[in-house]
Amino acid sequence: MGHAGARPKVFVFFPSLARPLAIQEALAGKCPGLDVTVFGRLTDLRAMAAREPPLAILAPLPALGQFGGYRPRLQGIRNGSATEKYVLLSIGKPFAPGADLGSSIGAVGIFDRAGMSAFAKGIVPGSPRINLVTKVEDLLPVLIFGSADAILISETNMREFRKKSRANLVSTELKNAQVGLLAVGMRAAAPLAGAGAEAARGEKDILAALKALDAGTLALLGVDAWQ
Amino acid sequence: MNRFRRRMRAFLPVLLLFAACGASDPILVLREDGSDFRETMEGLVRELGPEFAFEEKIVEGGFGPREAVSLIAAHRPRAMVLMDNEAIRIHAAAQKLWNDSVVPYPPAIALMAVRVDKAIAGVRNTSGIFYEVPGLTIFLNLRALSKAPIHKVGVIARPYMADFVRESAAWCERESIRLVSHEIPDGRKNVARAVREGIRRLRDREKVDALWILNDNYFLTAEIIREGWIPALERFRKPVLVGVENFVSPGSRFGAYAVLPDHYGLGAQAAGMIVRLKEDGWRMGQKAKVEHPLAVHKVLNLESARKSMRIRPESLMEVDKVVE
Repeated sequence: MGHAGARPKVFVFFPSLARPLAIQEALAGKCPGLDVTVFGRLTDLRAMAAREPPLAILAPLPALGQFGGYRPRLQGIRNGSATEKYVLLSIGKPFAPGADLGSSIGAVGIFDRAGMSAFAKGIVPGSPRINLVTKVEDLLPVLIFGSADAILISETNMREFRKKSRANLVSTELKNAQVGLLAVGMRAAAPLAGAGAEAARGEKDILAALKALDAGTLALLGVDAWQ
Repeated sequence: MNRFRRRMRAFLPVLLLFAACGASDPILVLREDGSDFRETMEGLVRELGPEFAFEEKIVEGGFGPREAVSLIAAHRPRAMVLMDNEAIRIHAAAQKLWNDSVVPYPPAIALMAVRVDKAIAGVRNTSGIFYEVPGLTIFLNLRALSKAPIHKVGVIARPYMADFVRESAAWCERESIRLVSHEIPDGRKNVARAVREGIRRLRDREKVDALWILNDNYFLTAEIIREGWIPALERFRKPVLVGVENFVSPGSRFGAYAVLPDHYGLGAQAAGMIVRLKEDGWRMGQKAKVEHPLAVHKVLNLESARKSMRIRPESLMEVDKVVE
């Protein structure tokens, strides 16, 4: 956004089984007017967003909240819902949250360690230890090799893991485990009038391009429409 | 993302400095030099955040156990991270020199070492992460990629790796995959020929669905590759799984699918172990286990893969790098 005509910069953080570059290539192909970078790791996004703040950040709604200067403008929905259910997945028997003081759960980091601990405690009773990984695919080895007693995972990814593994994967339902789907956060108005006008144009371009995405590309982002 | 990674890596010294300024828990890292070690360091530092201060020492000529003891005395680290077998060797010797009656020798986490389980055997207060990617991780990734079922995988090994192969086989059973080993005894004269015979046996008699080539330098000399592996693999026609990216480079005629350690992920995993150590008051339990690496980097040689398996196209989205 440094000069007129530059493509508006969009950062995407969407932990999924698809590699970030594949999502980036799909988005770049569908949104040639945007400068899209997809991050697989939160630390990468945070570092880059601090250095070169983008005009928009796409991230799961709870994760978006940690980027203070961005306000949600679009919320992704799937099957009419803006949230998806998370469950605990374990091998052989259901995981009993709170039953074992020394228990641990694996999870993908969508906050820093302290934030992730607070997030998980809001969902999983009993304050288990959190074993963080940086990629969704790493959660299956966490479970199989016993690095944690259970993993915290969306129902969508649980179905994918069940396709990949022959182990007896058992899910445990959780209360309060509805987690916001991908949302689009826009940077608050730029301080200079000229830059503000450019940002307004960029924002309009971003929203138009995202709303025009086809079903296949939206599915890569875990949603089927925007609201 | 490579360009991004390079740019971020350039900021690693700043991160280290920042971490050192405001942090309360010093961590001493003994490591080798090289890009893989730097990437692991990046994962460690960035995933631990600024609450930890890092002191890094590149292990090179002249640095030995006495120098390690001096470093530990000067920095009083809460924990140590050891990268590579040489760092572990120095740590083991330094531990013996240390007088525990005043200040206890810090616990350590070892990684990026060949057979880290053997390397830290008998070393107190030390845990680690295997550098070898478990067969099961590799086979599950293959199963996700291949339309054909993967029930049986062959491997050629020497007695030194027998326990590793046995443990791998036990893990594989949990996923209904049978790992069949063809063992080549120590002292075999014509190893290239033994490799050819082993591949033939695994193909014709065992009828394996894939072949796993271990990262064992004993079998991976230029001569054995040229006269053993390559002629036999030309008639193998099943997926060949390797642990070295060069073996799936275009024109290598060797592997179809490489599943490698993700070095940033190794650092992140070590970061998690350090956090747990801190939560436990910097005490390592008696039964601290060596963990398997959780994160991997997958490279597919599309041409070789297409010759040896029917690929699920949607699974290509999960492969980190596809070479053609």
